[in-house]
Amino acid sequence: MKLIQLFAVVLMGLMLASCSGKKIQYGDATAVETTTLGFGSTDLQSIAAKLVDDLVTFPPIVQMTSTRRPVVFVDKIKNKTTEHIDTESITDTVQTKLLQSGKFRFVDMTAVKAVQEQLKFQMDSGMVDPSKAAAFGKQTGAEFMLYGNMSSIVKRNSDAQDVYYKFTLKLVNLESGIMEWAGEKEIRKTGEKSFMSL
Amino acid sequence: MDWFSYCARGASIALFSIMLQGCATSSLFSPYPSQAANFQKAVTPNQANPAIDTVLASLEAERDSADAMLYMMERGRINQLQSRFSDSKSDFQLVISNFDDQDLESTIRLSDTAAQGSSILTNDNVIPYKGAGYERIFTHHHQAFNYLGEHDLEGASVEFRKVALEQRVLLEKHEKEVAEAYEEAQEKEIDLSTLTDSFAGLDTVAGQVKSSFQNAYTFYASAAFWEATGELNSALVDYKKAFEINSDSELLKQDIARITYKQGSKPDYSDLNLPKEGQGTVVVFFEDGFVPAKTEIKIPIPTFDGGLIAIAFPYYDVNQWPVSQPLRAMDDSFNELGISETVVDVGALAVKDLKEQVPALMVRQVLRGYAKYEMQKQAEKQGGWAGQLAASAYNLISESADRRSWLTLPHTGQVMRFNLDEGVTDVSFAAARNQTKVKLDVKAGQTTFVRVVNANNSLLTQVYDL
Repeated sequence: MKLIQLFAVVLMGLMLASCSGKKIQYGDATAVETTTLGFGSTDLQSIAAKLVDDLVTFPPIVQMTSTRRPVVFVDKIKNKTTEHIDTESITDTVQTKLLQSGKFRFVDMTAVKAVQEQLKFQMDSGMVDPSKAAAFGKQTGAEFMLYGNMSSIVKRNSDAQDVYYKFTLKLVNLESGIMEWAGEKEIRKTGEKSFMSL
Repeated sequence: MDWFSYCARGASIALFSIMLQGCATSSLFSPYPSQAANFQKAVTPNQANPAIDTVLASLEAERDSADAMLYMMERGRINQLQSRFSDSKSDFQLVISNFDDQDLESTIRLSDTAAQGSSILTNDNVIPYKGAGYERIFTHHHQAFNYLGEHDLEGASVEFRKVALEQRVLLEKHEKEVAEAYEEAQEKEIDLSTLTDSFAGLDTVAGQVKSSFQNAYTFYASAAFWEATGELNSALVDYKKAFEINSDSELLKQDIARITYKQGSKPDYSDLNLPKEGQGTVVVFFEDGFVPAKTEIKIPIPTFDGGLIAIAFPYYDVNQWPVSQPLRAMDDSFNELGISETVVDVGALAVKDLKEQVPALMVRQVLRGYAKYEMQKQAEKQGGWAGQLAASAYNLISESADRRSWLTLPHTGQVMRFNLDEGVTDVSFAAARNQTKVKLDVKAGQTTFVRVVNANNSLLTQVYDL
């Protein structure tokens, strides 16, 4: 009987201990994350790294960017998966990495409206020295467009789940319409059921 | 051991297992349909109705309960029909993440086992609500409409793809699960024939649908969405899937022919219902009534020693069901624009789902019957007539069928499609007993979704511009 009581006390203690307090800590932003099967930070990082590497080492692109830094415009990436993925965040990462490679320059279409307002303020408000104001009609047009889409195939049965992602990115010459480069990154993730859990 | 300590031990076991699985459910001793009657009242076009906020607040309080999935499905639909799309989205998000968790749940969950254990001493309402296949499909369907309501077409497209994915996955794993339930009944030597007779009355209704989750209404919504956004391939696939389920639908024949024509082939059906130059398309989704709730039947089961125990089962009283009527649409000079066609009978899906659960239900119920019978005999032995009285009273009170299901869903889903000239048109919608008028701003070459819900003797309307 004594033993049973002791066991009950220990069990109770364990239950209480598991409920108390939160633990917060910093982690490595590039560490492999496998919390769920859904699209996560590791997928985003590996997509961006692979595609940027592909693009900047592609021989014709290396040749083209050896003497100048072409201006590129990034279009929206289409999300064709069964998950709500922020594709803008993927293009942001790709764009940042490309910019940092020193081979490309970008026009930011998401800021067009703010830029327009600023230019209007400089020209019309009378508060800016006209000789130092940035003028309308002096912006550089983009030479290339970067666009793509992301799709997924999900398979699931009673024991396991399998997700396959395919991310495609393309670089098109806006004037000639010729596709100069295309890159693809595939990711496969699987999850299996464990036998027992709480 | 005396009678008192016997009771104390039984109670502490029940308490412990309830603790393990989280909070006990609120449907434990009060049948769910009577709770849901209040939720249904909140589906009303009268937005100023203070009852809506009361109901939404009471449902919000259940967000952490064991039956959270069920309550959030109800809350999500009520919020959506009041056009509170972002609230509805977070309600359905909880349901969706619970469904997703179930997919990768381990084979044996201790908290589940605890719930099953305490269900042996009480009733099936103790087991946390897991949602039916057709409810999962409807959850994603509703979530897609939340994104449409917020003009997020990409978000809606993700949910419509999810609807298709879940129907495919369910189709693959479904038959296996039903077969496993039969096997378990056989292993435990439980005779299913007693029940099959009692449930035979459901066959005519269950026979109306091919499976318990294949839903032509959600296929039609996604097909119309894909057509409106120019993804003709996806549209054709979904119209064809809807047509597979409703193979005598004139509307779907038109739709398939129209897409075939748009894709540049020659369709084998001449009526295309195609908008003329300067016209836009209106797709009407009509949701009629409320899906019927489960009732309860008691079935006597013989025991080993020749006695009888009564077991409560959930049941659909199909003879009492109202017949769904179509919706008519008219323009302001009383020209008929169209009449709706039923593509899904949600009641039939629910009946089919219940029928498929019968073997598993039977196993649990018979085990519970024996457990309670044993308890009664023990109580008699230990506590004499007082003990027996207490145990029988407990059995009588605790035995109640699991009548939980998503009850703000409509009874039938109907669709209609017509084309209108560009500009503002007043369109009247008339159901069997009530009518309403909607101002539609139609744009040439574009599609407008109109949702009409017939509930509580009035028509609620919503317009979704694509």
